[in-house]
Amino acid sequence: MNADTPCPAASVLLIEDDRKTVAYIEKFFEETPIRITTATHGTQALELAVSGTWDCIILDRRLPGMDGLTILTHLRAKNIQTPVLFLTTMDSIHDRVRGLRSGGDDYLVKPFALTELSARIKSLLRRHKLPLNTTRLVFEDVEVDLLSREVWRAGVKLYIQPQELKLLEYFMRNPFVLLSREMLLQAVWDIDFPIRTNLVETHISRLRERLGRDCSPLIHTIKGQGYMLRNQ
Amino acid sequence: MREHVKPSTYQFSIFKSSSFRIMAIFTGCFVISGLCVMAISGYHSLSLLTRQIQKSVSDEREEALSQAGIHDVAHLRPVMAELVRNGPGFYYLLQDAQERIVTGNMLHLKPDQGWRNLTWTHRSLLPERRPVIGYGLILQDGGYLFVGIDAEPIQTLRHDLWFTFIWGMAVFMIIGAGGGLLVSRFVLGKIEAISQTARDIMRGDMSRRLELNASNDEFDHLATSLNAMLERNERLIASLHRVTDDIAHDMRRPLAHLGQHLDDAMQQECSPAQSNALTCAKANLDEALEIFSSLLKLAQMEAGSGIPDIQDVSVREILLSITDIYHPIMEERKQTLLVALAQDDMTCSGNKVLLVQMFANLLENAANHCPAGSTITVSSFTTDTTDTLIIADNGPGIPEHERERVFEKMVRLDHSRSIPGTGLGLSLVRAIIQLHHGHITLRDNAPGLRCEIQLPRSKDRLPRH
Repeated sequence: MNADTPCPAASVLLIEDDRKTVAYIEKFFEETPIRITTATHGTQALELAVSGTWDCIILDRRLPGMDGLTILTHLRAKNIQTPVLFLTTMDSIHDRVRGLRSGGDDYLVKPFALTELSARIKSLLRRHKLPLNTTRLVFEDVEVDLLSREVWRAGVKLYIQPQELKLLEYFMRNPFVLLSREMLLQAVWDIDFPIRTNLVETHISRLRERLGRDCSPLIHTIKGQGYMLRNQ
Repeated sequence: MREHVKPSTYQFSIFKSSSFRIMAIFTGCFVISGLCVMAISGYHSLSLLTRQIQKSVSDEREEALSQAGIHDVAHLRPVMAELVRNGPGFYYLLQDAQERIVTGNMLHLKPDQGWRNLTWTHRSLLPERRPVIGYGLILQDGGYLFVGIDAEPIQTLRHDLWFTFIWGMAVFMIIGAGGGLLVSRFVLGKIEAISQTARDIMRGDMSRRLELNASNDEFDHLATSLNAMLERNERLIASLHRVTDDIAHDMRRPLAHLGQHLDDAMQQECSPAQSNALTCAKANLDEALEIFSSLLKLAQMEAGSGIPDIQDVSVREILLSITDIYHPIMEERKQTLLVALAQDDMTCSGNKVLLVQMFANLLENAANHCPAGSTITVSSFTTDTTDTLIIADNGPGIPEHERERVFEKMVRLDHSRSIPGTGLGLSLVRAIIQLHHGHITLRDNAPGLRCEIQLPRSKDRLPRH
């Protein structure tokens, strides 16, 4: 079951040669406003990526015909800035660095949870719609001034620690997006490896305390999947 | 298994340097051979001159004796008197059997037969103080005849030879030292080029090769052999990477499918027992993937292809950030985290993601193994070449005989079996440190564990991938 709420309509090009993975992803998104178009061959995928208008591209690294990195290099050379999410089995640091340096926007390693893929796609779609020079984030009665690093709720200034502010900022940039534990660790703290302590839970709990237990809750736990910033 | 690369503590001393030693040996050999040549030629020159002078004396003496006919004082007296009057630069002395001077231009001599070197005191009839070389002959009637010649040319030659010898030695030393310096710079330059290439390769620039010149000398032969070895190593490492990539790909794909099937199954209506079994299966799959990823990461780091995405990173900033992240966790567990870092930035050439993982693993270990009430201290100190980071706690510690074993892959000590983990955390920690040319030591913190990490400081910009 997809726990996500408001989901923008978007057209996504899935470039993946593994038919089982394609079927798995297509089935997940078929009841959402995200329309998936699939390409299983590298050369054909490049033609589709160049000719069509896509909100996001999901790109495998190993493909018949042309590898994912080459496809992305061609796209960026043609100044096509469509956000690209790598979905691959290649997870060494070398691979990640090369993927992101060649113009990739995010990197997800197989096996993956569909909710995480969905969250990352939505995060990418939102990131590319936000104006680059945003200095103030607002969600409901919470305001974050990114320059002065100050936070207000219902007009009252909150005392908030730097790590909690980083966490809040990420939530505010991705409202209504289900954010997994792994996404938070990676995006907020650059932790790209499994950890055993309840680090995310502790920081979320503290952030909730700062935002006020008595006020309406904003950060919701989606059991077994992650967290979401929403107003109800 | 990879060797530890301890941070260098080498202190440069000119007298201990190979350059100085090569120069000294070269200079020594050059000076000694030069001196030998000079000594041999000097000795021969002196001998030749002495033989020529002795021949003149012998000819003069034989002439006098042949003129006298009979070799006694009476017959020699007129001959010698004439020679003393007209003698061309020779010294003469004729004494009778009672050692009384009969004729001559010298003072009395003790009658010794054979070649004699006389000093000026023996021939004060002449005004000059010059040495004399001559031959003394005891006559048939007990008289004594001495014929000598000025030995000044021998003395002058000897002085000249000494002068040449001393100045020659100085010139030889200067030329030898200069030559030695050039040779040592040439040889050490070649060795330094090899050494620099080795360092670049250790840092991961596997494409580095030694430069060849057209001289086809021993260094060229060595460089050719080393380049061939490096070529082979690069191919092997590339092959290892391909194999690990293939394994990663081929293993991850079925595991991904397994995960997808489990997800599908979890979406279906099922009994609590089935749901529980599916959740357990998913957790086991995640654990298997974690072990798989960690082992691949270890293999890639130990393959020697260097630090990925290397850049100058501030270890201080990483530690401040990571301790900031772990502070609430430890507070929640009633542990105290103290941070006392040196003001220095502690810049290291490395990979930030890996360094973050290394420190996070160590703090995770401390948080997971220390009971409530423990204190974990993160501190640092720096030297010119090394940054030392210390993570110490007063928890249960690790027995001395286990402190090396905990770095081995999949090793879990008895008391930590109840704590979730793969047994690869500390292996990764050590692999990351070794990849950064650092060193880790576990010590007794009395009580607890003291983990000391030494990382070399960044000196210059390193080759990037």
